[in-house]
Amino acid sequence: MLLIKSSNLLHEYFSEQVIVFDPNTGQTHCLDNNVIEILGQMSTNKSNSLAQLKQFFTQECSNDEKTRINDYIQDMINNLLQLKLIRVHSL
Amino acid sequence: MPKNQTLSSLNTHEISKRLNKDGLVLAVGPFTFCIKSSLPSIVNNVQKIYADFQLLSHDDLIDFYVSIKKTKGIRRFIKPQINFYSDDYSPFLPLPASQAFPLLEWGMNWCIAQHAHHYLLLHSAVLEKNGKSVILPAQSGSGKSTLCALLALNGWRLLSDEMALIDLKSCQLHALARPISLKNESIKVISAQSHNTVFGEIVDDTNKGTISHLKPSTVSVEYVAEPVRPFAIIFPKYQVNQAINVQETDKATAFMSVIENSFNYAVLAEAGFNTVAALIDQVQCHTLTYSSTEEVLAFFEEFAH
Repeated sequence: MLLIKSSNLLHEYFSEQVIVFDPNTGQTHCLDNNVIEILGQMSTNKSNSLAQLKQFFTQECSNDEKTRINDYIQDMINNLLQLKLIRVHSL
Repeated sequence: MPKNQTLSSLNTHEISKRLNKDGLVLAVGPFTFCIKSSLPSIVNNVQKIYADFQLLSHDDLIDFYVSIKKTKGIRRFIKPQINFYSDDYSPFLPLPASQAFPLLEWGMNWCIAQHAHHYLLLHSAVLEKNGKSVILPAQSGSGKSTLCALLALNGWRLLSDEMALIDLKSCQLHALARPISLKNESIKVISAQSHNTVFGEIVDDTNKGTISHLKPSTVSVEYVAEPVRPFAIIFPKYQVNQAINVQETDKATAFMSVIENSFNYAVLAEAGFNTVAALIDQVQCHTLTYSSTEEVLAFFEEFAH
């Protein structure tokens, strides 16, 4: 799956959460602040594969750790897709 | 017109004449309203409640031309109704003539909320004491206006009962110092607080129940042009038989609550987000539940010192 980030997102970082404003939809979201790390690995004009993204965050992890991190990232990606902060890039 | 002439310098006849003819021009915080109406209840309430407000003339730049007029036709005679107009536009359904002054107040709020997008507007009371300002955002029925009136009668400067005006760049709070709208039981509670309170007429059977407006203090109106730096946001809630409980609230939650209480966050878009972020960054954020007047006043007194 290829993913692309919505452009011009603004965020305000707090200790455990982050507030993200999407000027494209006018919506403001309160999210787990780890979202920023994931969004930080994505581009607004070049698609990233989900597999590469998961690989980036699971380097040097055991299989068990990889499974947990992959599930966590997948949940976040699903949420970001639902909120339209990222979208699936069709070739 | 002499500078800083207030409405109290005019007699009833002159106020009535202006309201009936070209309109009475008043400075209301940073806004200028031209008010027209031939209704005696508007004359009486405006004279009583806006006595300390600065009179302006038609040569000044007027932001809002508002009027309260009786409806025409059959309903002029049977259960007469009134309409609010901003210029020639009437945004509300007609109401019974007895609700003329509350309708004028709601209409003036509507004008500001619809047009003053050079501020971030929050549905909130704002008060200040010893340079410490508190923003009290709350939904209807949370006891915001009652708490606001209590504080205003206990040495706090009233900036606003209904709407916080937040500068988009500096985050400074600008004052309106308009009448405090009290409902139902809170009218008695506040009347009992002081013999010096001045109320407008009591109006029954509005869609918010019984309503009366409390005149803002002369000092609050005198200092209306002085903005203050935001110090704290406190989300108040009156709960029967609840001992006072103050909790620090995390800033992300406060951020989202501020947005929920904003009239124009969506209109301001990026500027709104940046202003809320800057505001939250510089204030303390708390939730407050209470039932006792004494306890809540003691809390705010300590807070101001």
